[in-house]
Amino acid sequence: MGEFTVENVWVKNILRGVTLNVEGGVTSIAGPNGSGKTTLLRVMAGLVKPDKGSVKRPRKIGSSWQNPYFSFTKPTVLEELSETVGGERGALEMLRSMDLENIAGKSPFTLSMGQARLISIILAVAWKPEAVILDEPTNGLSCEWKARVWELLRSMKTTIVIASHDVEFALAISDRIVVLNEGTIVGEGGPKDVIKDLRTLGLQEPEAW
Amino acid sequence: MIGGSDRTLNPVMALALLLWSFTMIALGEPLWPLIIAVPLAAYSKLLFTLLPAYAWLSIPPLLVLLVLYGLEAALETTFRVVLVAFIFTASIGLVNPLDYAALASTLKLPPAAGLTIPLVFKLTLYMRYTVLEAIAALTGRGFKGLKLYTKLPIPLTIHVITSSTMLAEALHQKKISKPPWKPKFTPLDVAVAAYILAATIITLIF
Ligand SMILES: Nc1ncnc2c1ncn2[C@@H]1O[C@H](COP(=O)(O)OP(=O)(O)OP(=O)(O)O)[C@@H](O)[C@H]1O
Ligand SMILES: [Mg+2]
Repeated sequence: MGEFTVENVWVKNILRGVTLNVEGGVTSIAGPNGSGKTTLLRVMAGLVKPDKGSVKRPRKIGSSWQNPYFSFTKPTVLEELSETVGGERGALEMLRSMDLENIAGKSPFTLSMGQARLISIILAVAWKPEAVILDEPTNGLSCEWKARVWELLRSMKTTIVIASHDVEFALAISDRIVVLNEGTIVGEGGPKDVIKDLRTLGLQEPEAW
Repeated sequence: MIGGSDRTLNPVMALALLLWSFTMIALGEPLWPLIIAVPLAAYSKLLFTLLPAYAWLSIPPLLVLLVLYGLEAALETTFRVVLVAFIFTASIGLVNPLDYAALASTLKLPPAAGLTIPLVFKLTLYMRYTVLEAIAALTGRGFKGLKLYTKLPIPLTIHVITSSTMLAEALHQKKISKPPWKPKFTPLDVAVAAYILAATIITLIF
């Protein structure tokens, strides 16, 4: 199981002394716009070098970022997934299990934003990485599709780190929530422990979905 | 304004600087344009944003020429490539994009035609961000090394096509009209003009 150790990381004035250890389960980074969530994920994924501090990370990290269409390279969704799981049968099975066989023959580049995001998340987890990093995985997804992401992620045994300002989703899926504000961690714990911190930052709690 | 900076050069001056620089390079006097392009590029605040892009631009010719023609030829060509990049940064990057539209309408051209000059320039900046984004996405699917780089052009090409379609639609809907002002000449323009004049005279005399 993948383990991340982030120690006293500084990136410009975006992250200011972030220390974090993640091993197993689902961890969400929550916080207002511009608080540094995406930057923290990029540091964890090894895409951004911190100015100061150190990061230990697993070797194989799956990830999906803001623009899901950048993940695509094939004419159809099925071919895309077949390449990753090593065969059409496995790919079709996977799509069927998620009720997505109706888009198997479509070009990934013509998918709606929500569909594209879901496929990009599936591609990020399907190559069996040791850890998965997802930036705003529920952005543009309807409630029903959020539930599918929830199921997919919950069925996985790897370490998962999510950045989200979708508080309801974060509360529902996370074992642990890290609250980020202006580049520093201001709260940390199980969903129940951080509700107060989230409320202080004006991140409202859910109406049910 | 697209550049996010109030440090501007008159578009006429920028184009003059561009023409003059290339003339000087052609005459074998590349140092004169370099001396003014570097501080201007730094002044436009774009220099540091663009440094990685310059590195990318200069490494391939450097390597190829190094293998084919040796170090001296390689360094010389790389110097030229970087110099041209600097000149473009200095001249185009310092102009308010809307001034190009104004200039275009003065020349009886559609204002949008003028806008294509800064747009192309901004696209280069944007491409750098886009390439990094696509590399992140493909790495996250488990592609690396050669496989990553052979796949990279696919999402990038599709992205360029879709975004230029969107851009064309946006420009069409906006019906860019003639800006109600004429571009002003600033002290910066005067300084650049003085430099060009002085450098030209010195080159002609010696
Ligand atoms: N490459 C960069 N160069 C300079 N500043 C940056 C860069 N990337 C991000 N920033 C700035 O860092 C801050 C944090 O950005 P980041 O994207 O990490 O926030 P976020 O919490 O993910 O926000 P959001 O909820 O809107 O996605 C922002 O103010 C942003 O403008
Ligand atoms: Mg973000």
